[in-house]
Amino acid sequence: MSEEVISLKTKHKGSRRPINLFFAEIIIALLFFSISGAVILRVFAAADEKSRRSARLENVIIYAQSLAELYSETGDIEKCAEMVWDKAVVRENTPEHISIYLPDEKTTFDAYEQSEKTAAGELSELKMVFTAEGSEIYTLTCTAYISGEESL
Amino acid sequence: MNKKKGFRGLGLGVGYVSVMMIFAVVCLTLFAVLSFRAAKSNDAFNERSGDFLKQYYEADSKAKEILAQLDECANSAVNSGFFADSFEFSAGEIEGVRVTPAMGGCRAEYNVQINDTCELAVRVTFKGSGGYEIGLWQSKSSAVDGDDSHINVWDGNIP
Repeated sequence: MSEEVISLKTKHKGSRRPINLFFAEIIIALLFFSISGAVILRVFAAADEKSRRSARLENVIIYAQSLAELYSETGDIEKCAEMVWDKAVVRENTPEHISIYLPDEKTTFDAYEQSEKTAAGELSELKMVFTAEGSEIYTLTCTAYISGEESL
Repeated sequence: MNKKKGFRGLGLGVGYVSVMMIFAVVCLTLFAVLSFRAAKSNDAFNERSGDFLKQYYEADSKAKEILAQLDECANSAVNSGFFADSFEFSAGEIEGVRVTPAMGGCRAEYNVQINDTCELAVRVTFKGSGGYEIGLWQSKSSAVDGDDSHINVWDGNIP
């Protein structure tokens, strides 16, 4: 009778040991996985942020180049902006400064124009500043020369 | 007996979870690093592209300033009555500008450095009757002949 009880107890202990080991392993694995998962998620988030920033910069560079080429030919930034953006929201428009909000890019475009009349024509300089989330992302300065005959 | 069967029924031995977890972590780390590297290289490429654009338009602005000066020279040369002589004299004083006579006027050529490897080449023909025509306004490699970067290609002459 007593031998039977002892053998049952040992059998019972023997079957519980792997289960306990199994659960202990799961707990340790989950702990390690959650720590490494947190680090990996941060890396993914950083990659995503960099990718967004890169895509925005790429678009802004294309806009800046298009505007610079158009400005070189026309010397009129308002006309250029109309040709490049159709959904832009004009915030400020004075002869020296034009400010445009681009809803798709969540970017603000500011252009500062300076003109100098020469004996033969007009030389004007345009400084383009693209700003997103309060920080400057790209700046480009270009020049247009409209000779007297063309500007008349 | 039943308990033993139940546990075996899960099909999970001790160590299986650890192996799977290590595999998952390694895979996730690899994907994360690869995506970060791809984003970083793309960002670096865009930065370089943006920097080149800035350098190009800086050179373009300088070239346009020279064009404005040349136009001014041409304007005063037309009014003087001796276009070719007057223009050659006044335009020749502008640094880096080469003036040669052309059909019905004068041709002015100059280069503006964009960066260490590129330059903006400009060729403008000023007419004696007034006005000008831009013949060339393009960026080209500024590598000199005999440089290591020069590629030896067939020049079309049969020896």
